[in-house]
Amino acid sequence: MSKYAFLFIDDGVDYQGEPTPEQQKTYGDIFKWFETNGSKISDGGAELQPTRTATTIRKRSGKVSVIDGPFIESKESIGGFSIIDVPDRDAAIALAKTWPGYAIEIREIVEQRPR
Amino acid sequence: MPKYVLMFVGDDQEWESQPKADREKNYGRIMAWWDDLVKSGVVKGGEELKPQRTATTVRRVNGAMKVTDGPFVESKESVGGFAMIEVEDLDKAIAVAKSWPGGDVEVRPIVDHSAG
Amino acid sequence: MAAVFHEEAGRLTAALVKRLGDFDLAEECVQDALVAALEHWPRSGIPENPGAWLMTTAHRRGIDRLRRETRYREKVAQLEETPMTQASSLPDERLELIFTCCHPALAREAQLALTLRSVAGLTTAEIARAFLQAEATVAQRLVRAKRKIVDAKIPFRVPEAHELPERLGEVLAVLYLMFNEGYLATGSRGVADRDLATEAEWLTGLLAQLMPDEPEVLGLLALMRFNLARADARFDSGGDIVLLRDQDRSKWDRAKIDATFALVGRYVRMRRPGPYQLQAVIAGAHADAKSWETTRWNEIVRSYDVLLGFSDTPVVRLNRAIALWHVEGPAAALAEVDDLADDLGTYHLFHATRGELLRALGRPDDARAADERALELTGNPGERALLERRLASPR
Repeated sequence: MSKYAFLFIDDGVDYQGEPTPEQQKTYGDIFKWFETNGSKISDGGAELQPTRTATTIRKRSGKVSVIDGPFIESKESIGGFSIIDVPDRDAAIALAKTWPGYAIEIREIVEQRPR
Repeated sequence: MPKYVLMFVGDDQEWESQPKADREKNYGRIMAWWDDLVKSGVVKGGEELKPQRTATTVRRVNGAMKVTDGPFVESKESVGGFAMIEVEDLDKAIAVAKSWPGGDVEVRPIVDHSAG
Repeated sequence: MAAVFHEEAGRLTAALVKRLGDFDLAEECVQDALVAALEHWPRSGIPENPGAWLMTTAHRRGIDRLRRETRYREKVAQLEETPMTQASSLPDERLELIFTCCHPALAREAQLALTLRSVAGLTTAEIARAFLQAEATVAQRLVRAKRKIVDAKIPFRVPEAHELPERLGEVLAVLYLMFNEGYLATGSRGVADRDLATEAEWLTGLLAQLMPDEPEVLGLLALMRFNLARADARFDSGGDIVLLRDQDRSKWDRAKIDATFALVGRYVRMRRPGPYQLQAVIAGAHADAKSWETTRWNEIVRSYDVLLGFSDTPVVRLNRAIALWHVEGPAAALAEVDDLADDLGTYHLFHATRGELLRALGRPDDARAADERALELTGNPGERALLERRLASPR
């Protein structure tokens, strides 16, 4: 069994107001997805607030500064993460394909030495 | 208390092209930092990720999920790891982020699904 | 009414943020109260106790708003329970408010708009006019800034001692930018520009009241006041810019200048020099001089030398070179200025300065080329008019 990080990707639309019926359905499907796949999810992780709530600590030429915004401006951004525990990468991909949302970036985790 | 995710940003190529001794020294700093942070009691999770070139992305295209090699967006700098912390407010989260011995850090609050 | 809003808006916002624990909500309640005042007071006159009137209104509007929005149900109970007190009898938490509005996690434009709104009580329309932006743009910017404060939990507090230097630096940078926007103006807004500069002065004055032992705050205040004291001499009857060396010094506000020297005395005695204090000393040296020619230029150069120790930037070096001109002559100054070409190639004042130095060295064709380059690089109507006049004159 191997652990992977699922980085849930946002398509870049900021839902400021009340969710539309379509969005509500997607949220519902996402909730069900976590329920259905609970046995494969070792850490539910977290949903992140949109990039407009981000703050970045930037280091340039020895100077540290606090700035408003994400580390990179892009339409798509990380909207959340979970850690999954599955036999191999193919299993991870198969699981990701069932995601009701927009996209997932799958990354292998560096296993820590036991402490 | 609010929870924040800290995303540690780095240049994979720059990291991997370091002389072995430098890489080990820098890695040691990161491990020491992590141990201190865990001891402080604020840590709720966190992982180190393998480089972005080892990523696989699954993306919805015209309704169907399509698999591609690589990260969701190619960029010089990418997320090399993250930590989830629970602290009083953004200032406390920024203080933790500033103590990171590596490069840039993005701090984002999580969506709190609990009532209130 | 503006004076009342100035005094009360900040206090009211700060008090409500504390009471409600929600910046966005507090801000909206204050806005409601100010709008109500703008509607009622012209007809019924300014109430004897404007602070109490505003607080009562904000409180009432707050409860209405909370009832309408279900997410705030618990807060209704909170508001209804606590007894009503006049804002000015509550502890002054405007310092917390200033630091929150100028938090580094907010974009610079957001810091500017939010400070003007929450601390100085300007309306969205007034802020938009001041920055020559659409009202909708400013409104959006304010909404986003307030939402970020709430969503990311930017705390409402005065930073601790170890954070203070960086955080205070951020506040001063916001106020300095605000002042320059109004005073130098990249657009042409005439009298309206001075309003923004005056707001910046008022805010810095408030900060100095709330932090009387911070010499850099006093330094920035002195810098603003020395500049404002010259305001009446800066434009001629045709509305064109008059350079410092050509200004009619009898139009300078000598009373304001003298009072500002007292302020300089205060911070000099604190013996904790810093960049704003030094810039104020330089402005003071100009304010003190009877004429351009009798200005103590070598003292100014020395002040710039110390300033470079705090802030070694190409613009400071450029300003030092201008002062050096009057001590060591135009050739020495031009050599220093030319060293900055890589850094300041796209800065119109770099070229305008070169133009003046080249003219002084008897190189009219090179001077003309420099002035033309300067003209290409600035959109400021006042500065353009000045450069065009210079290019049109026969010499």
